This record gives sequence, structure tokens and C-alpha cells, in this order.
Amino acid sequence: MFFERRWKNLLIGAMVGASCLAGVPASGAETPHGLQPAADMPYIPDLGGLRARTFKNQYGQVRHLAESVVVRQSKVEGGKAHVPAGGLFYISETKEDAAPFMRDPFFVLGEHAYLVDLKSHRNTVRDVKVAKREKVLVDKAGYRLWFDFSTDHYDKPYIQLALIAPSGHWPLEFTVSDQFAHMEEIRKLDMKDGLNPQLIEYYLDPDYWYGASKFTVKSNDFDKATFDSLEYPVIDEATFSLSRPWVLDVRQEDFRWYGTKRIYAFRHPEGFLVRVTDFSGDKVLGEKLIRPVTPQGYKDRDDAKDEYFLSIPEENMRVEIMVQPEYLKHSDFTPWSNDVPYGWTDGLLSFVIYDDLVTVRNGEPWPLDPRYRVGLEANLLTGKLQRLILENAEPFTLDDSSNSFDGPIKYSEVWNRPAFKLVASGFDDKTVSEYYVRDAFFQRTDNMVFDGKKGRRDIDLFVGRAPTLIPILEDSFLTRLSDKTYGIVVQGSHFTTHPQAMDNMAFNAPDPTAPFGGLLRGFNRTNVKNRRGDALVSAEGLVIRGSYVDWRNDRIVIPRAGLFYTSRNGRNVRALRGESFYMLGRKAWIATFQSATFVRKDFDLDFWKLQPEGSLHPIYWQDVPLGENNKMLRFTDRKFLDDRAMGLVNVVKYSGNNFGAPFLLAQNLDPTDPGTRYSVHPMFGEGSTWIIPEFVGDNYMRIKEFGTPIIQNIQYTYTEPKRVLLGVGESAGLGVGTVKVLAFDEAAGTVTVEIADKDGKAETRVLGPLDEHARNLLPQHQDIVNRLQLVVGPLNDRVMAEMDIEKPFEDGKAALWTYVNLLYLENEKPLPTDSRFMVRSDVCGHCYQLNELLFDNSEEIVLDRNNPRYDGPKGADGKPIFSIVVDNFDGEMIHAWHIETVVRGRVFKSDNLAFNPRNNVDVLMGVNGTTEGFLRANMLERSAYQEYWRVGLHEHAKRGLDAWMAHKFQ
Amino acid sequence: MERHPHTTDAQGFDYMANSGLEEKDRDYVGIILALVIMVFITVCQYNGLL
Amino acid sequence: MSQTPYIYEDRRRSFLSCCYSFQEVLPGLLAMFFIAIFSNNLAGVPNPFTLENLFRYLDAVIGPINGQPLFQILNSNFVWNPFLLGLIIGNTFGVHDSWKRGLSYIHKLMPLGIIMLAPHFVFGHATKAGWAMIIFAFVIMVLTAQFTIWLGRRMGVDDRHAGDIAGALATGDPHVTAILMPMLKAKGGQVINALACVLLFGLIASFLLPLVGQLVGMKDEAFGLLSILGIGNTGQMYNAAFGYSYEAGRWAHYLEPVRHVIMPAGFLYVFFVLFLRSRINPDDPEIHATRPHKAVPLFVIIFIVCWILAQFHVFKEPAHLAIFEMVKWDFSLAAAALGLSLPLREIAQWGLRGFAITCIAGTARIVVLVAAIMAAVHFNWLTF
Repeated sequence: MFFERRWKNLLIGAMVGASCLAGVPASGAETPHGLQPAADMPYIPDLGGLRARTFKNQYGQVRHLAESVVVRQSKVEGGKAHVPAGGLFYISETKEDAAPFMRDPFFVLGEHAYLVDLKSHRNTVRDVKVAKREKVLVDKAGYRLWFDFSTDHYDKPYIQLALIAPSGHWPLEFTVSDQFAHMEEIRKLDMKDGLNPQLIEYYLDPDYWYGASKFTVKSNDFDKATFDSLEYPVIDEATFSLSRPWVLDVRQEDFRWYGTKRIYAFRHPEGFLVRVTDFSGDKVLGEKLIRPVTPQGYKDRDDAKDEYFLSIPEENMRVEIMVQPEYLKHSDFTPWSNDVPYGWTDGLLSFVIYDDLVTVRNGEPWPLDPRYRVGLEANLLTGKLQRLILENAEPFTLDDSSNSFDGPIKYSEVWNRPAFKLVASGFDDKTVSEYYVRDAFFQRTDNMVFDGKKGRRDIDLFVGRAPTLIPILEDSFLTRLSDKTYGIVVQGSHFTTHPQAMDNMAFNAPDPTAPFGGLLRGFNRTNVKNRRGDALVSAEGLVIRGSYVDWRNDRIVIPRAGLFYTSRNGRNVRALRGESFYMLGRKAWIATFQSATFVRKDFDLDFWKLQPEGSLHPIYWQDVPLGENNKMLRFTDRKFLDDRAMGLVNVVKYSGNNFGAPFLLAQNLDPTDPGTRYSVHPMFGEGSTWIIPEFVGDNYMRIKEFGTPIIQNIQYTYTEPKRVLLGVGESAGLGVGTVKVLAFDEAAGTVTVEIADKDGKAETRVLGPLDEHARNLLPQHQDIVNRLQLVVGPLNDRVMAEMDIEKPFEDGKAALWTYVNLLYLENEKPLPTDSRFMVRSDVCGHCYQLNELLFDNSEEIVLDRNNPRYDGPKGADGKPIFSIVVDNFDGEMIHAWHIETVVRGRVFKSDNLAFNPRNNVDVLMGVNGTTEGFLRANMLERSAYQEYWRVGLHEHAKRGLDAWMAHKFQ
Repeated sequence: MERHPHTTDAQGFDYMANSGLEEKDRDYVGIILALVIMVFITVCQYNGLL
Repeated sequence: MSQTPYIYEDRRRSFLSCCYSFQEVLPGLLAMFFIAIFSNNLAGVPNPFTLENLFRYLDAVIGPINGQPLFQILNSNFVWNPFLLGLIIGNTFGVHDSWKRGLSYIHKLMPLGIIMLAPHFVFGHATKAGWAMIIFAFVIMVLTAQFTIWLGRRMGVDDRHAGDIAGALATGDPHVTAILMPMLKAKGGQVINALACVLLFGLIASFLLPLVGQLVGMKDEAFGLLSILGIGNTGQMYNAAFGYSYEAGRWAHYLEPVRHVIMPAGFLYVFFVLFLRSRINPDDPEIHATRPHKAVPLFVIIFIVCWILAQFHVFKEPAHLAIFEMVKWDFSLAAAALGLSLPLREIAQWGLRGFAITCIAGTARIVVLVAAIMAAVHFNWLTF
């Protein structure tokens, strides 16, 4: 699952928004579909009866399954908890998907089942109107379109949205706009390998193609949008087999016994005529010519699938024939997948007979319990089953006299019984003091009212490990993870003989268990305003990655690029708008910058392998660099859509975060081709980053052209720019010199400016023209920006005058913004104020502007008994912005360390970041887009650990395949 | 002497009784085993086998 | 079967003679083995049908108390589980004669386990709490031990029994009763009686302590320390601390190593005090503890050597974890034999006086601790 990385502008603002949405009263009119539980709902990761396991299907493909119980939009009022229809639901989810003919496993209320058949269609909804921050219902089933936010390029809006399934799940946010050049236009560009000038156009399509889904915007501005159509897959019916299938060799012209039935197979040129008879062979129960199943995906198409199975509903059986390796008979544990792309080359043709079949229909009652309604949700990319939802069909209430509500009745080998029970008690008028979930084995969760004195005003909850938790937490995870009610959460390390060691951590993420320190005085996080009055959050942070205890030498090592300072705004920092940011603790204003387009042509890209080696650290090695320390290209995942390989490619930033959502690349998946059910663009282009593949395979791509911006330098000042109004011949002081307007032409939009230094040496330039053409490319295009600015003087002591683009002329005078003491910061060079650190500024992949200031250590840092302290980068005042201090290290384990800042002479210390002993000093400090990206990448695991931390318990040990998978992704 | 039915067999061997030379020998065996196990595990770890 | 009385020296050929013949010991070893693997989830045995898992399931059914599993509050662990199973089997079916040679391996397993525990106590793990805290905990531990031994004498409790209680109460770890068993030469019944006393007192205290804390208005950090030093036993102290507040619970987790790493000092203290006393009073018929030892037992010396080595991080992670897995195996087997050896009346015969001294000493410790911690916090002697 992938998510559009999105920088939260306002942590608190988002929270308020979330709580407003979550606080919608549970009225009958507003369905809870597509909405999330309260932002502060309790999350309990484990309950025995809700399973979370990894299995493989019959071709060895991994399927991560998990079950959960969720309550949303509930409310305690009048001594009762009110839960609206659809407010309580069970969710069984696979991280991937489940398709027919694959023996894909699926949990059905705790039972290990297999999906055997699906009926689906593509739903199209037209003319959907949505306003910013709104989640509008788009159909009766409860799908919603969420307009998350909008931003601009060249002052034109582009918007980011998500289609939310009734369960609350959405796979990613997509970006569309009807106001820019289409990505296909990129093919017309003529670029050379290496550095090229900034692109003129901004590329973005009005439609987003996402495999089985397609979203087309008709018109949009910053605050509202109208969609011409939303197309997405809907599953109408699914059939599960609740038992492991029987597998019998096929013997042609003969029969095999299946219980008291005979199954004959008669050879035909195109397959087998399969006949099922009773014991004697006289009575034919079913007969059909079927072809052996092989793993090509098109076979589950509605017009194709009928040829591959014989179904006899009266006998509760379904027969398929497949190639089954002998040693796998009777087993669903497939040790490995083989072949190209997958499937068995070697094996016997075998009958696969599914029984215990259960068919459920979307929107209809659950067969065993009409109090619950079935929801079947498709993977928006593949159109196959991803989630089974069972939700309460009618609203219900809980109070002290009737304090429990049974979950849906589950199928069981022994006793069909409620799969779980929701219990609540201790009601006050507006609060409840206890509620929990009890599963089918009578095990219960902890009381989910964590603060017994305050109680809770709702009974919202999420129990279990279904990945839907992640999109559900989108609005609240930052607040939840930085919640200091329980102090800084520190997960103890797993100590091993072989520490994970890398000599340069560029492009790598920190340890997923690195403590997240949240806010600490000394790391600024405030609103800064530009000249237009737009408020943007500007925040600093610190990330340590790849550090380890070198126990053989009694020391802690932070490798090169292992410690970085980050400063980032809510969005990119733009020139000509007087935008400011934080530079090592001090507010700075950007004056000007230099960027370029980096292009790489004709290169190979291997499918990314992430495998642990013998010491069980996950390793990868196939990243393709895009410019020096700029970006990396990573082919992270692949799928087969109607047997065309589709690759997911990520651009990885220097910080180790991904740039946006993964790019979908596939060939021959044009929606106009009736032979496919999917739409995927044969290239990717968004803003100023593009990929044109020559060939897309399942484990290899040949890239014809890749382009993305790269930033080379910026100039900034700590002195706030001043606005001066000058008539012709008038001058004003500019540092030690003067700035003078020699002439201006309001109609043409030009100002002739002269800047003289203290010796009278002058430089003159005509700024502008600030005309229609220029305005169409403002504020992002640097050529236009440079045309409106005059910069003079020696490096690091320059002065600058620029035209005011908002109001260039006023009262018959020219308006200029004047900058003094410009400082120069060049990428890939040492930080001027502290040569131990290198400048690795990150550029916005859309717009060439400065996205992030990042300074990292160029040499390995060693902390030991003699050097327990390390100062971070020093700012203009020569003082470090932070220090890391190891308080207690025994050569093997770190028992205490903290981060220290000094603000106005006062020392601020973080909590102990090794509250539980750790074997590294990896940390995320401060809250900005960079730390947020790392948190987002393992939100579920962090949220789960937070719950263990709350009561001081240890995480359950993973076993079997789960343990192995954990090694790959830890 | 009181005979403990749970611990004493027909021969008068009381498995909870522990004294004299027998106790010493048992201690030796325990100590040797403990040291062997600890040394083995520690050596394995130092050699990167754990 | 020969009815000749058993005399070890008659058949001894080398020190390995105590291992007896394979045929003799196999049934007993198998009995211990099966009790062990059905009691605990032991390294290398994927058997899911263990008492440990049954308790975990019951914990989940009952639901957590102050966030803690009930059976942890009741101290279910790798010693308790096989002991319980052994006790049930022994008392229901008796112990077959053919098992007894094998079961005598408990006397090899006890020193074996005690020595292998040494890497578990690394002093460096506690220094994060500061020296003041360590000294404070140490003083409280010694005072508790000494007071309990003294009280035991005053109340006429057998010194092995009182010593066991003193060790377990002072260190806050009921396992210490088992560790002290071969050191003090305590009887099985005394060990289990002492264990029951300490656990029962801990259980009561863990529910009452939060009330005391609230009464005197203790800070969360201070209460965390109080529950560690005032109760000790892991599950019970977390029950008390989390029962007070989450913050106290977290501090209990943080400070727990302080109690943990000085534990060996606690039981060694009890041993040496009683050992010296029996040396000084060779003829006192009231003194039983350590009496059979002619000198400090070799395994105690080896334990001390290993403990010292552990302070220099000779046993690093994950070797320490691997060694500890072996400790679990070892004590699981030993506790099975111990459980089988005890008719219930042997536990009961040591009476309730043990419980009385536990309660008096335990309560006195809590009172002193409350006053001392309040004062220490007030005068900033202890910082958190």
C-alpha cells in the first residue's frame, strides 16, 4: 500500500479538522461510511481471536492477512452509547489482494478460508462536486471523495484527493488539475543527458489512471472541484471455501473417489470433460468441459473464467484442474515461488476440489446473521478483493442494563457463535468508564478507557492489525505518535552480534524503531507568513540514521550522512514572495536560487530486492542514482494486470524519504484497448519529474529518459527585507551603499535600478518586464525571477533589489524589496558556518524551489567514554543548534542518552531516548515533513508499540513466515 | 529416620538428600556443565556464530 | 531388585559416578523433561500445549489488571509452572521409584542454573539510575534481610526458612528461595513455604501500595521506586506501579534494573551471614542453615567469579540471552523435580509463622521506604 507523502501544513489545524470530522454526531442522516473513528480512539493491536498472519497462495506469492474490529462515529449521550448503522464493523483484509484461481487465502471471521470466485464490475459516477477538506459521498455504498488540499504552480491550482472506501481505506492520494500541460507533451522535449535548464511548462493531467480505477477532473480551482467521472471497481459477489481444498491426481478416462462421489476426467483436445457422479457412477451430478488453470491473470475475466471450473452448488463443491507439484499435495504452505513470472513448470495435473463454499453479496445480509451487512471492497489498483466488511445493519445502543452487543455469527467447525462481542459499562450521562471487545474464544482486550477519571465520550476503537488503520490514522497519527501523555516512547533494541552497519547512510531511512522525540524547544516550529499573508509552518528537526554500537570497540558509531539537520516549510520556499524559513535556529529569508533539470537517459533499472543476509539485516543494492546526492530511483513493487507487468517506481530523496507516491509504469494498458480491464499510463509525468520507459518487465525496466529538478545553490539573509518606494532619481540606503531608481515604465512593467557600493561603484540593470508572459511563469521560473532581481557585491556580502510583484508601482513610484547581507549556500559543499557538515539541500520535484535544507556529517562520528557528547551544526553565532549527549553506555547497551538544546541561555533536554536499552542512537526529533515521512512508513508498528509501552508489555514474538517477513521489513 | 515416600526409593536412595561426597560430585558435574555451556555460547558469540 | 541399602561411596569410581547409569536415570530425566516442556515455552521446543500458554490464554480471558496479566501478578514463570505441574503429579499419582535416580539430577541442575544466572546481573545496567539510587536500594536490601533474619530468630522460625524468606523479600525476587535452597541447605517444604509467603504478601501489598501512595501523595517517579523496592517481584511491582499511574509504571520499568542487578548481593549476604553464624556457633542446635557446608560451596565461589566477569561485559548480547534460555531449561527441569518431591503437608508443616515474619518485615520495609523516599525526594538526595 502506498500513500502520497504529504506535508502537513498545520499539525494542530489538521487535528482540529480531524476532530471536527470525527465529531460529526451519529445521526441517522449521515452514514459513517468512509469516515474514521475519533482521532483519539484507542488502538489495541492484539486480540487472540483477530488473526494477523502471512500465508502464501498456491503459486508461492505472499499474502499478508489481518482482521480487525472497528467502531466509529459513536457517541455517549444520556447514559447510552449510540452506534449508528455501519458504525461497528469487522474487517478482514489482505495487504495485497485475493483473486480466483490463485487459492488466495482470506480470513473469514477467524477461519482460514480461500477465495474461489468473484463477480465485479467497474462503477462509474459522474459529475461529482467536492470542496476543499470535504469528504463527499459519491454512491450509495458509501464511497467518498476526499479533497485533501490544494496548492499552486505558476499561481494555478492543482489538487490532491483520495477515493475513500466505505471502510475508511484509501490507497493513495492522487494529484490532478485541468489547468496544465498534459504529461504526453513531455515527449516533445529535447533534453540532453546531464544538466538542462528549468522546464517552462508544468505537467499534470486532469485524469489519474490507477489500474482498475480512473478519476477525471472536469474543472477545479483552489477550493472546489468538479469531477467528470470517477471510475472504480466494485465487487458484487465473492465465494469463499472455508476448508483446505482436496487435491487428487487426474487420471484420464478414469475416475477418482472424492468421498462418496466419483470424479471422471475425459481427455479432450482443449481440456478435460469433468463429470461428477454419485457413488455408483450412474447419476451424473455435474459435468463440464474445463481447461486446466495456469496463473495467467486474464483467466478470471468474466468472459473467460467460466472455462476453468465446474461448480455444483447443490453438492457444495467446485472443481478446478491445475498443475500441482507432487510435494505440495494437501498443503497450502508453499515454501517458495518459482518460474517466470510465477507458477509451476513441474507437477501433475490435479483436481483441486473446494468445498464448504460460502457466497456473500455486497450490501446484503451476512448469511448467518441478518443483523450484519456484507461489504466487499476491491483493491482500486487490481480490482480484486481486498477487504471483507461486516457491519451492523441497524443502529444500536449500549447502556448499563444492556451492556453488550454481539458481533456477527462466525462459521466454525465446532459451534457457530458470535465472532466477538462489544461490551461497555459504567455509563455516566456523557461518558463511559469501561468498554472492551471479547473474541470468539472469550479473550478480551484491556479496558479501552485509558483515563478512568475522565472517561470517554464515545466508544470508538480499532482492534487488530488490518492495514486500513493506516489511512484511518492519516489525520491524527502525528498527534498520536507525539502524544507525551506516556512520555517519549522508546522501544528497546534487539541486541545482536552483528550490528547493522553501513558506511554512508545517504538515501537510507533510520531504524524503524528509532524514538520519535516530537517537539523540543530549540527546534523551531512556527508559522511564517509570506508577503501575500499565506501562513506556512516552518520547522526544524534532527534525524540520526544508521548509527550502531560497535561492541568490539566499546563505541557508538554514526556513519557518514548518519546525522542530519533538516529545516523544511509546509511547502517549497519561493523567491519573490519574501518567504522565510529556519536556518540553524534563526529565521532567514530566501533571496534567490539556482536550479536545473537533471536528465538521465537509457539506463537499466532492476527490480528492487530487499533480503536479509545471514545476520538478518535487510539489504538492497539496486538503486539507480539521479545526479550526485540528488535522488535515487527504486523499482519497489510489481503487479501483473491482465498479465502485463506493471512496475511501481519510487524516487527516493537524500533524506531516505520517498518523493510522493510511487509511479505506476506499464505498457499496453491503454483504457481504449478492450482487451484489458486496466488503465495505466505508459509514462509518468508530474510537475517537472518524469519517466519515459522503453520497456517495463516484471523484474527489469529499461528507462529511456528520466528527468527531475536539482538545486545548486541558494542565497538568503537573516535581515528582514525592506520595501522601499522610489520615484525616478530617488535613492535609498542599501547596506553600506545605495539603491536608486533611474527610470521606470509602468505599462511595460520595467524599472531601471542602480546599486552603488560605498565607494560609489555602481551597477545598473533594467528589471522586468513584469508583463503577462512573466506573470504566467511566476513565481517559480528562475529565469523570470532573475530578471526581476539585481544582485551585486562580493559573495556572502551581497545586496539585492527586486521588484514587488504584488504591487510593482504605487503612487507614481516603483516598489522595490531590498535585501542586504546575502549569504551563499552551495549544495555538496561544506556548511560555511561549520565545515564538519555538508549542504545537501533538497529540491521540490514539482517546481525547482528549495524544499528542504539538509546538513549532514561528512565524517563518521564516534561516541565513547571519552567523547560522550557531540555538537550538531553551528549556526551564524557559532553555537551548535543541538548536542547529543550519551549519559550511560556500557560498551554494549546504551542505557541513557538525550538531546540538548540551549535557548536564550536555558538548557532544554529531551527525555531519555534509551529509556529501554538501545543499540543505536537513531532518532527522529522535531516535527516536519521529513520526520513525518519516516513515521508514516511504519505507522502501524509504531502505534502498536505505543500500546505495549502504555502498559509496559513486550511485543509478541513473530513466528514462521511472519518472522521471516519481519526481517525483511524491520 | 523419617522416610519421604515421594523422594526415597526401595533401596533407601533419597533423591532430595544431598550430602557428603555425592553432593560434591554433583556440584562438580553441575559446575563443569555450567562452565562448558557458558564458555561454548560465549565463544560462539565472539566468533560471530550467534 | 536388590534391597541393599544405598551407599554412594560403595559404587563411586570417579566424580562422574553421581551421574549413575543411563538406565537408572532415564525414567526420571524423562519425567522432568516432559514436565518441563509441558510447563514452559522452552527454546527449541515448539510445543504449544504448555502451562505457560494456558495461563496466557486465561490472562486474556480474565483481562489485564492495571494493564498487567493476572498470572504474572501471581508470579507464573519458568520456575513456578513446572513446580506446580510436578506438585500436582506428585501429589496425585505419587512418584515412581524408577524416576528417583533421574530426579536426583536436581542437585546438579541447581548449581548449574545458579552459575548460569551470573551474566544476568550486569551492574552497568543500573548505573543509569545514579549511584545514590543504587546505594539507597542496597541499604534497604541489606536492612530488610538483616531485619527478617533477626525477626525469624525472635519468632522461633527455623533459620533456613527465615533465611529463604529474608533472601526473597530483600531482593524482591521469589526465585531467590530456590537459589538459596542449595546454599542454605533448606528443605523443599521450606523453600516453597517461603515462596508462598513472599508471593502472598507481595500480592496483597501490590494492591494496597497504591492506596498508601495516594494517602501520602507520592510523586509518580517516587512511587515507581517504592513499588520496586517495597514489593520487588516483577509482576506484582508493575501491578502496584501501574495501579498508581502509567507514569509510575514506566518509572518502575526504568528503575527495575537497580533492584535486579544487586540481587546477587542480597542472596549472597543472607548466605554469608547465616554461614558465618553457623561457623561462629558450631554447637548451637537451633542453627540449621548452611550447617552441612564445611566451607563455602565451590559453586557459590564460581558464581561470584562469573558475576564479576559479567560486570566486565564478558558475556555479551546475544550470548547472555542464549545462556538465559539455558537457565530456563535448567530451572524448568529442576523445579519439576522439586514439585514431584513435595507432599503438600511438607509445605504446610512449616506453618504460618513464616507468613507472619514476611508481613511484619515487608510492612516495616514499606513504612521505612515511604518515609525514606519522601525525605530523599524532598531533600533532593534522589533525582529521577
